[in-house]
Amino acid sequence: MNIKKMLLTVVAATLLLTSCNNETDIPVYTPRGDYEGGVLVVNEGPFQNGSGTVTYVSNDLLESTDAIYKAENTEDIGNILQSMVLYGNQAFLVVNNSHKIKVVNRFTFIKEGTIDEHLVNPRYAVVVNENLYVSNWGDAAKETGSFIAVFDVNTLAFKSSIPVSFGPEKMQVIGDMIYVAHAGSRFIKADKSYEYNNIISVINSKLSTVETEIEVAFVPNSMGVDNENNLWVLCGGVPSWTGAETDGFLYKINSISDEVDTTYKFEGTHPIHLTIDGSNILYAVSSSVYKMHTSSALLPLDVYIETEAKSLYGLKASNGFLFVTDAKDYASAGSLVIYNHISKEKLNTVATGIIPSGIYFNN
Amino acid sequence: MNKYTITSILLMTLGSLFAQNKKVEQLEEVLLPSSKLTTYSVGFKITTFNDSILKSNHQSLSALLQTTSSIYFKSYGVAMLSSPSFRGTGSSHTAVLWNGIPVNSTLNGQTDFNMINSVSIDEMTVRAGGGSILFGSGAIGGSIHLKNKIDFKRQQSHLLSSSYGSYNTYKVNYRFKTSTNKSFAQIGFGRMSSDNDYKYWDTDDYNNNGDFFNNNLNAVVGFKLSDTHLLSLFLDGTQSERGLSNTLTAPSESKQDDVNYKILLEWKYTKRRLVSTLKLAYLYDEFTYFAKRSSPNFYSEGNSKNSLLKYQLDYKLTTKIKLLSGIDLSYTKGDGDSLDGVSRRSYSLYSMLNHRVTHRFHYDVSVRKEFSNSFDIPFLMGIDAAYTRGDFVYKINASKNYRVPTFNDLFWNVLGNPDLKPESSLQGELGIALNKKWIQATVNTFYISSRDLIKWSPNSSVDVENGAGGGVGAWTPKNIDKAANYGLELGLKNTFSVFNVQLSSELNYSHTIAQDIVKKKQLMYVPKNKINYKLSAQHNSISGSYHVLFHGKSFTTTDNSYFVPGYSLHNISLNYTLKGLKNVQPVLGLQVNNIYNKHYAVISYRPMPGTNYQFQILIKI
Repeated sequence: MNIKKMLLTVVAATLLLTSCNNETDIPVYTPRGDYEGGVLVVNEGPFQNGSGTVTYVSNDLLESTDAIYKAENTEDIGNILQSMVLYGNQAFLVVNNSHKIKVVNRFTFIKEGTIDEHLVNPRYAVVVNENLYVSNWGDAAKETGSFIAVFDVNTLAFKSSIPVSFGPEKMQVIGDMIYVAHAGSRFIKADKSYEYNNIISVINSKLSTVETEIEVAFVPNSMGVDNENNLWVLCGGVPSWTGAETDGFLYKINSISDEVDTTYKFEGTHPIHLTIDGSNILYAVSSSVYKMHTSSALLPLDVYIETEAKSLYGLKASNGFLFVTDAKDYASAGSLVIYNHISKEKLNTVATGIIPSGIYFNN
Repeated sequence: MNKYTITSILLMTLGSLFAQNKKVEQLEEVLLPSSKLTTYSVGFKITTFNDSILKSNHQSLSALLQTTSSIYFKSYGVAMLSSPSFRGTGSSHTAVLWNGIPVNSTLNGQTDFNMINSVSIDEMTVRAGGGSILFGSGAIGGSIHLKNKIDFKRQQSHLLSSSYGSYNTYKVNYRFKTSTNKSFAQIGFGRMSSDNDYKYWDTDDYNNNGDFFNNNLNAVVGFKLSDTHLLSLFLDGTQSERGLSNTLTAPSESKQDDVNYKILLEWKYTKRRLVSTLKLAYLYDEFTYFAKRSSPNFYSEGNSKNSLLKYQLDYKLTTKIKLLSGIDLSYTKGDGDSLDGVSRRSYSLYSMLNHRVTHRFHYDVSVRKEFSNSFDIPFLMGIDAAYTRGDFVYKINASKNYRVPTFNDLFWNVLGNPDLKPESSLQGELGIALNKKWIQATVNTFYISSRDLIKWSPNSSVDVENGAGGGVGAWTPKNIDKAANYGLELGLKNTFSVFNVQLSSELNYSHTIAQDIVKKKQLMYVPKNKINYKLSAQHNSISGSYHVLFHGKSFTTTDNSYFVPGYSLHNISLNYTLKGLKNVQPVLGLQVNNIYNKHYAVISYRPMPGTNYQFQILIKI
């Protein structure tokens, strides 16, 4: 019961903050939809024949409801729901294998539109200056063909396409600049092997052009921004199954000069899922979560929280909470586990859809 | 299936039981031919499909088996991968043999029934239950035997069948057969092509990338060198190109081309009590996958080559005891984008004894040991028996069976696991068969316990310490799953006649529990209930049949949280024989599939076609 009470207090506090941001208003609160507040979990859905889903986790983090999109719209989202971006009253659902973006009201989850052109294997999206930027792997049959598609966030009209190096994935916005991590790979038939990328493209959203490329280690899989506007980039390195394994690295990059400030090297491990909460950096290696301070000169040696996840698949830290998704056997309902990452206490576990990956706060 | 359908099936079945029965000709299917397959399998349930049913109008071999047996086909679409499963076992747990040679894919262990042209074979025998001792790796759930027949009699015949149907589907098959009392030759050609662009129900979408064609060329030559020596040669080659269908949620532009051919040379020596058979075979399989059919330079490929030598000695020790011993040698090579010129050698020794204790009681005892350069294969033993009393036959069998890991499992670049063990299963079965002229009924119960089942799963750090390739998180194959399958199969066939109309009805029901031992959940894609019913009628030159198939829901997740809904499917076929011509009696056929336009899918998000038609003409000269 202590946990419940505590969660409710925290969540209620968040709600109050968001609803009385203008002090002259009388704090009369009208809910904007059934899914306001709480956590949205994006589930990729089964590999081949199926649809991704979005799970709604209640504001008190005690209960979850899967497949809210289908419940509201009586249709499926699509195959491999890769990610989501929340902007204004809307949520943009990026569906990789269906080559679509479904646009919904983020509080009611009622569909408002679909983008199904100028997208080829879309992966992630961000919004800058009323434009939606979507990273696309491009055509699997072409060795060059990755691009960032730009749409007007209000009309959903296509605006332009910015060609980039192969395998663009996650994006991080700092001011007018978009940092694109190229974590993808491509198969080189002649060598019967995969080629991995090791760059961060820096796109100036005012000009919609790639301004520069920052070279990092292979497979930059996640990014975050600290309180001093430094960009942190976590590189997993080339996995060992390729036969050409490389080490993982963490970079602290000055976002004004776009120069690497500090480099941290992992010895023989492949870190993933960087997430920043205030001055704390958290990431995972397999099912173990590590934590370090942004001012630390060294990587932590000890595991901070040993999760019980069978297949840790997503990580997000916020306000002292740590949210971990577990994809289990990739063919059954996964789960979201909530920790207090200050006390390391495990608070609750709720069910999600199949292969839960992304964690988003809907307030 | 609605209540109406169930009631009508029950009424038709019961009605036919009480209808006046005359001695009528057995329609279409013929039971139990005498062969090696049945001699050493007295305690097994065996069903044979003869030439005329294989050449009758049906959509495909997998559709034929789906609607007339308890076998489940995991079918991805009309022409896409469709592999058979017996009794809730996996898609690589059915051994398929072509003229006695195992033809399951070396790369993935499956046999794609949409790559087999039913006109190229003369007889198909379905044997439920473990058969690894006789047939080798993969015969865990059951085995399917495709056979060409050679007969030495003075004859010459042509067979031409052609059909056209919905979605611009063409089929043409031609076969020429000529033989004397000393020699036999047969050559056949078949082609099927289809736009296969049926609508996906309840959507604006349709199967826009499912077009396909396949060509088959086959030949059989036999020489009776003397009364004791028989030499024969079998050839079969298939080439196909098929678009891989889009699902309800994902478009597709991909395509797969397949080429396979099989060559078998057989020398049979028969003298008094002894039959000696030597088989030399070479099998070639190749696939090319195009992620985008408009970019033909971007593809991935794989192939396997399999050389086999099989020698068998069948010896009649006394009038009551027969002995069969054999040796199999095989050398298999695999190559492609994900395999790097890998190979495997193996040899097996097996022996079995058939004892007819009395004319009522027969039993078999059998043993097998396979040796391979890749892994240890357990010693196998089996026993089966049959006891006849009145019109009833009581059958029992128990055996140990196995499946060797596939080349993909063992040798996939870096991720393959060369330390895999073969999967193994222990099983038992009890059956009762009632055989009367006008009715045949069977009841079978089975239990299959499988372990070391191979499954691809992400590595834990412990797996990596134990030598799994690819590091933590990489997907590699491991011997991790355990399953228990048990269930009940009912079969009821009867023939009768009403007002000069010859009728036959056939009902199959299966109840299958297939559980993951650890999770205690039903395995994915194993429907608990399956019923099929067929009522056939013939009057003079008109014949027809009505098929009903009911498939229970099947789960699509390991925790049984999602499932594909059950469905019922109704098909009709009508045939009319044009008489009056002297030597030629063309048969005109019409088949209507899914007459109630039911919305159904076998694999989730992969819709199957609505009502569709097929016209056929068959000419025999």
